[in-house]
This record gives sequence, C-alpha cells and structure tokens, in this order.
Amino acid sequence: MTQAAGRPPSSQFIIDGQAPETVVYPASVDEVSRLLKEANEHDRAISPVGHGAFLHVGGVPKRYQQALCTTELSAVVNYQPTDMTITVGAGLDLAQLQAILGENGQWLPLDPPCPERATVGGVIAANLNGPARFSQGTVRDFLIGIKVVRADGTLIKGGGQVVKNVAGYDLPKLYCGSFGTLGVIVEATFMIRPRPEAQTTFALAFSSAEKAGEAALKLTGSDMQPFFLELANFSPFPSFGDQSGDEGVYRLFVGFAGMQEEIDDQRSHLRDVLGDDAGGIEELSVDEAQTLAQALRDFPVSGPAALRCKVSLQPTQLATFCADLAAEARRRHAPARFLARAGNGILYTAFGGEAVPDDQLLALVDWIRVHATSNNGFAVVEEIPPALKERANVWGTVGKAFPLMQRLKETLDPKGILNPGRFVGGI
Amino acid sequence: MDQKILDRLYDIVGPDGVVAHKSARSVYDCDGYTLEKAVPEIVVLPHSTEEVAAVVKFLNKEKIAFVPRGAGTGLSGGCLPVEAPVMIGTSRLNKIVHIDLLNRHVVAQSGVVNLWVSNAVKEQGFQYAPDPSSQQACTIGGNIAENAGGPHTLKYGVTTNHVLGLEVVLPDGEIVTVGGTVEDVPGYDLRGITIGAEGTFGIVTQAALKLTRQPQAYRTFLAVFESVHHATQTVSGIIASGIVPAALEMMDTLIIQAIEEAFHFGFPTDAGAVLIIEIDGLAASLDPQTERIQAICKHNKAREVRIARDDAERMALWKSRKRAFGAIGRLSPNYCTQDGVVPRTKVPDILQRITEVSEKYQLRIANVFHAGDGNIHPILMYDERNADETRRVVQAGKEILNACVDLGGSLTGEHGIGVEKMSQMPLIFSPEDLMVMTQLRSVFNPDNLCNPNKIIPTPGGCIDVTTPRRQVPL
Repeated sequence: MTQAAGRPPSSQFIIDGQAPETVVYPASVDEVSRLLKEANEHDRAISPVGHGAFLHVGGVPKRYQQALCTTELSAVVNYQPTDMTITVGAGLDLAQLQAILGENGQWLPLDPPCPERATVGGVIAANLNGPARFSQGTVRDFLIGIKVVRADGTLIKGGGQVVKNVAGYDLPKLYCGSFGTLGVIVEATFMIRPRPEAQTTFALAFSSAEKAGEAALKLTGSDMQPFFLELANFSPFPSFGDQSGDEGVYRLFVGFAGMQEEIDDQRSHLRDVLGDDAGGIEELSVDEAQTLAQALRDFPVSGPAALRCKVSLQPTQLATFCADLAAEARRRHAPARFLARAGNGILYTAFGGEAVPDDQLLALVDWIRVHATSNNGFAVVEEIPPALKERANVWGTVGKAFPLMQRLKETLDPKGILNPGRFVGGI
Repeated sequence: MDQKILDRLYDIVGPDGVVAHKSARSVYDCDGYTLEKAVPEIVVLPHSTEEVAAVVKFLNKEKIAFVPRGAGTGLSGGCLPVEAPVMIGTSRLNKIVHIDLLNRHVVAQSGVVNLWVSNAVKEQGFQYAPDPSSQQACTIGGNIAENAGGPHTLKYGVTTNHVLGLEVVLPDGEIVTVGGTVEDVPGYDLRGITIGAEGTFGIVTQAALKLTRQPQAYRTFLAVFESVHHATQTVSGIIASGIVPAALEMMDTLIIQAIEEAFHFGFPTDAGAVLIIEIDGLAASLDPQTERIQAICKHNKAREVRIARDDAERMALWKSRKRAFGAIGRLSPNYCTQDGVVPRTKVPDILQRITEVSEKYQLRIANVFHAGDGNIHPILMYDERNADETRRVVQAGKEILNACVDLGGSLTGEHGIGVEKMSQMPLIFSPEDLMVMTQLRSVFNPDNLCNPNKIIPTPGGCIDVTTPRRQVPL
C-alpha cells in the first residue's frame, strides 16, 4: 500500500496541525476489515478520510496515528437506472457519482460543497448538504442502505437496496452525521431522482435582513415550489455588488427547477406572491446562475475566514438573528458574511479574512451560541484556529441525550480508536 | 399481578388511567395481526409524559416488562404483549401542542391520530404527508414506531422523512429529546434510529412533525391493460421518463373483479391489470405530464386510459383501491398477505414467481400493490376449515418472501417485523448485522424491558410460523 498516482497527498490529511504516522489506502472491504482489526488490537487511533476537504471541522483529535483513506473503494457496485437506486463504494467522489447518474438523466439530489473533493462516505459521515436541501431533502432522506466496518473489523450492514424497507433498525440514519466515530463506511446505496429538465434563478435585493426574511416566508407559505431559497448579506460575484458583507444589502436568491412549464408558471407568479416590497427582481443568465449555484454551494468552505459557524434556527428567526449578529460583528471589527438556507433555518457565517484577535473570535462564538440556544437552536463552530477549539466547544452541548450517544460510541468502538476527540462532547 | 404493584400504578395514573378488569383488558390482546393473541395483565393509560415516565421508572425499578401501544392498527404484532405484563397505551396523550405554520411544523403528542394533524392545518393549505391507509385511526406514535408509509410515499417519503424531533421516555424512565424543532441538530441522529425501532427503544410521547404544502392540483388516471406484463412495462416507462408520480398502484384481474363486484366503480372485469397513476404539483405541470403518461400507456398497449373527471371520482377511485382487501371477502372465506419488496425492475419477475407459487400450491393469489415502490401485497386465499389448504398457504407465503429476498429485496416495506417476521430476519441479515442491532437495542433498552421479544430473533429461539398471517385491510 504505497503512495500511488492519483491519490491525495498525505499532507492533505493533517488535522489541526497533527499529521498521521501512516496513511493507508485499502482497495477492498476485506482490507478495511483487516486494517481496523489490527488497529483495534494495537489500540491505534484511526481517522477515516476521503480527499480530506473537510478535516478542519470537528474537535482536535485526542490521538491520530493513521489516516484510512477510502478513495480506492470507488466502484459502482450496482446501478439500475429504472430502479432509481445506486450502490457505490464509499470512496467514489460525488462529482463522479453525479456524472454517472447524469448519463441517464438522473442525479442524487444533494449539492454539498466541493463535489470533486467530497467522497460519498464523507458526505454521509459529515452530513453535507447544499441549497437544494430545501426542496429535495438531506443525506438521510436518500441513503437507503449502508455497509460499515466496525472498529473491531466486523462488516455490518443496514437497510438494503430497495426504496421502501422497514426490516430491522434504521442503521443508515445512525451513520449520517456520525463523523467517522462509529465505523468506517465502505458502501452506500442511495435512492436517486430524475434530473430537473430546466432551471432558473432570480436575485432579489432588500434594504434589510427583515425585509428579505419576510419575502422568503411569503414564498415558503405560497404555492411556489422553490428549488432553493438562499438569503445572503453579500454578493457571491463581483459584477453583482459588494462581496464583503459590509453594504447592508440583503439578497434573496430563489431557484426554480423542473419542467419548463413549471418554471414559466412560477416566473409569472413570483411578483404576485412577493408583492410590492420585492423591489428589483432580476432573472440571472445561465452563466450567472451557474456561477451563483457554485458560490452558494461552496460558501461553507470557500474564501479565507478566521471563524465559521453553522447555526440551526427556525426559519422565522433567521432575519433578526442575522441583523443582530451583523451589528455584533461590526462592534468587534470582524467583517461578517452570512448565507442562510432560508427555508430550512440553517445559517452559515464566516468572519474575518484578516486577523481578528482570538478573544474577539471567542466572544462571537459565545454570542452566537447564547442567541441560538435561547431560541431552541444550535450552533456548531466549523472553523476556528485549532488552539481555540477546546474553549470554543466546537459542537456545543447536546443535552440529556448525550449519555445515549456516549453509550453508542462505547458499544461500537469500545477502545475509542475511531476519530477520538473529534465529535460532540469529546466522543 | 402483585397487588402492591397495581396499587402503585393506580397511584401514578389515577383510577381512570388503569384498565384492570379482564373483559376490558381483552380488547388489547392483539393489533391488526390477529394470529397471535395475549392479554396484558394490566393496561395503563397515562395522561402526560410525566405519568409515562413515572410508570416506566417504577416498572424499571421492579424489573417488570412493558409494551407501548397506540391505536393497535399495526400489522405485524408490534404491540403484542409477549412476556410483558404491563401495557402502556398512549390514547390519552392526544393533544396537538403547537402549530407553527410559518416554520412548517407541528408538535403533537404521540396518541394524536395521524389524520388529525392534516385536518388541523388543512384550511391553511398544509398537510402532514405520510398517509397510511389506516390514517383515520392510527396514531403518530405508532407511525413513528413502524416508520409508516402510505400510498403517496413514492413521491413524499415515509414517516422518518417528516419527523424533526421526538420526546422519548427511555426504558429507565428518563425523559429525553432527540432531534428538535430545527434541522441539523448536532450529535448522532438518535431520532433516525428511534423511528422504526418498533417501540423497543422507549416510549415516544411527543413529536415535532414537518408540514408540507398541499399540492396545487392533482390528476388521477386509471389505465387498463390486457396483461400484467404490459402494466409493469408502463410502470418502468413512466419512471424512466423522469416523472415522479405521487402514487403508482397496480391491481390484477382477480382483485379487479372482486372490487368491481363490491363497489361498482366501473372497472373492466376482463382486464389483465389496471394501474392507478396519480400526479400532483403545480397545475401548470399536469398537462404536459398527462400527455407523456398517456403516450407511455398507449405505447405499452393500454386498452384505455381514463382520467378522474373531478375530486369525487378521484376519491371513489382511491376508496376502491384502499378497500381492495375488504372486497376479497367475496372470493374467499379467509386470506392472508405479504409485504415483501423487490427492486422496481424486478416486479415482473416477482409476479411470475407468484404465479408459479399459485400453480404449485393450487392456491388463488390476487395482487394489489405499490408498483412504483416495488412493494408487493399478494393476497393468498384459503379456507381455514381446510387444514391442508391452510398449510399450503403458509408454505406459499414463505416461498414468496424468499423470492423477494432472492431478487434483491426485503421482507417488509411498511408493516414491520414485529413478532410476525422475526424468524425470517436471518434471510436478509447476517449474525453480525443482528448482533449490532441487539447491541443498539441494549444502548437504549439495556434490560430489554421495553417491548421485549420483537424484531430480533433470539439465537436458537426462532419460532416457525405454521399458520397463516393476518387478514386485515391495508
């Protein structure tokens, strides 16, 4: 298992400044089993990795001896287009998966950041989603079967290859967002969908977060069926206005997808639904729409930022939260950019491109967490200098369900060799 | 049961929260799976989450097993008390706690009936999408336990796709919240693993459910074919064309004849198969989809494609479909059904296998099923007074499920394992898979006091079912 061409360089697997002693690239499920069995026997700490694009997320590893890279497990195991299901190795990257499905006019309706560098296993483990989640759903809605190698090397499976199945406990759900701490995902089966025939995007500008938020709620409460609905305090491309988030303009990006007739119908009703407050409604060109879709998709990882948080709120709370947070960020001289999946209540924030003092970053984390949790929401710090991670408590607290999570971890990985320290509560 | 224990339960839930008399308890001896029966020693009907927690805490202390129950419409014996003396019913947890239309969710107690949720938001243009055929009676808690589906799962998904969070009384009496009222709650998706656990992870007392906008318009088709083969080709054709119908249901000759005799809808009784196809969404999208569907039907030699003229005709068509099982009573004194699933493209294969099984065992088998999902419901007809026929039905049923598994499918699409299909779990899961499920159960339910003897077969303890399965509508 030497370094081969096409493999990600091992420097890509540095986590919070820690480099693994070894990187292994198992080419079969048996090999993954053998590696884990061995690691478990020798108490060697392993981080399952794909292309290493999202390793900045999560707590500082307690131990990190081996990176287990899944990219060689990239086979298409079973694909029957008319079954609308596909089974693939966990190391296949999402862009390749979509290309294969695209040949039959199909897609897996997930649009997480950087599909070229996101493996299927990584998308599942980190529960990565994008703007389309508003209309399509998230990873857990499409994952119908999974194969996982447990920490002791045992291969287990849950779900199956059929779209409707209630036999046994729903293991696929458990592994969505489990962050590599409960086993190494080696194979996944997804339910897939026809690719929309046509698409278009509208951009709207508002003078305040509240007005943009109101417009978003009008849309979600109407007969309109937006494909995505994104609220931002910056312009994702230079030709279109300020990119820093400083100008006080809030933008709503409304995507429609489906049959041409559906798009035409919604285009003709958009202004009626939004009313007079909408101001300028601009329909983007195909090129602009493509650039925008990428920018919206990649925002959670793109551009330099000293601090990135992901906040879960009620959709109705987003606008006020953004306005208040913008004021707070100005007070702390931390340039702030926001992008919200407005129909889902998911807010991504990025602070600073330049040096913001540590205490200011921590104060911002504190502000966000206090305001999110007081509204029954949650806040996860997705990026911050590693030295601050512990104080920032990146995942926040989980509440009374935490003992169950600890017991789950102890059951599936009793020695704590899988991604130790990287998940909630130091799991 | 020890009087001291009864007294303590009375103390917790009050005299109106206890069903102790034998004749009253006997109502709780089974769910929709009527083949096995067991009367609980006592039924308690708590009025609040706190009362559920107090009851469970007490039972846990005394190490007395218990079984949760909603409306008892389950189809696999999920709430059958097997070596569990106490039944905890959720019927008094029947309040819709909070409706938040702007954020598109509802918080409801687990004893709330499925249809009440949609009714509560209907005027405002919303619905709770999962619509099992028993939705006038079944409870949200039961739906969560079974991860219930419905005719419209093809487009809208099943229960787990519509639940944001749960309040659960764990088997030790602790009250926890898993998930929440917002999306992407950090930590393991305990909500996801609790849904579909058939009540073995604790008792769900409250749930946050997602609301969906009602479709702007519907269109419902009845397509008539000379053969099952042409109907299945049409199903594949529709899916391949990029249309995702809201529902796609198939019925064969035997069931068409039974339904027509019962409901006089106007089904052609000489047809080989009919499809009920429903599309919904923006009104503007329905005409072009209609053209495509009609063309696909014609290409596959449909004799006729009718479109429901109005809502009344649409409802009549669905009523016929949903009551199909009741109509079988006209053909046979007894019947039983299976809930296997195959990949969509294997529907013709499984139908062929069912025909072979029918010939081999000299049994009449009717088919009415969710063709779009590959979820079959073969109805095996028999007369229980004929012991030999009864035995043949059991064998035939097993052979059909084995065939589903051979074709890459599963034992159950929407009814659950319960007690009914426990012994067949090893057909699709390895000992390692079953071991991890046992361990997961222990995380939530370490002493196995909460709904014991369900889902996972005890090694060496598999009971071989020798009598036929249920005969209830679905």
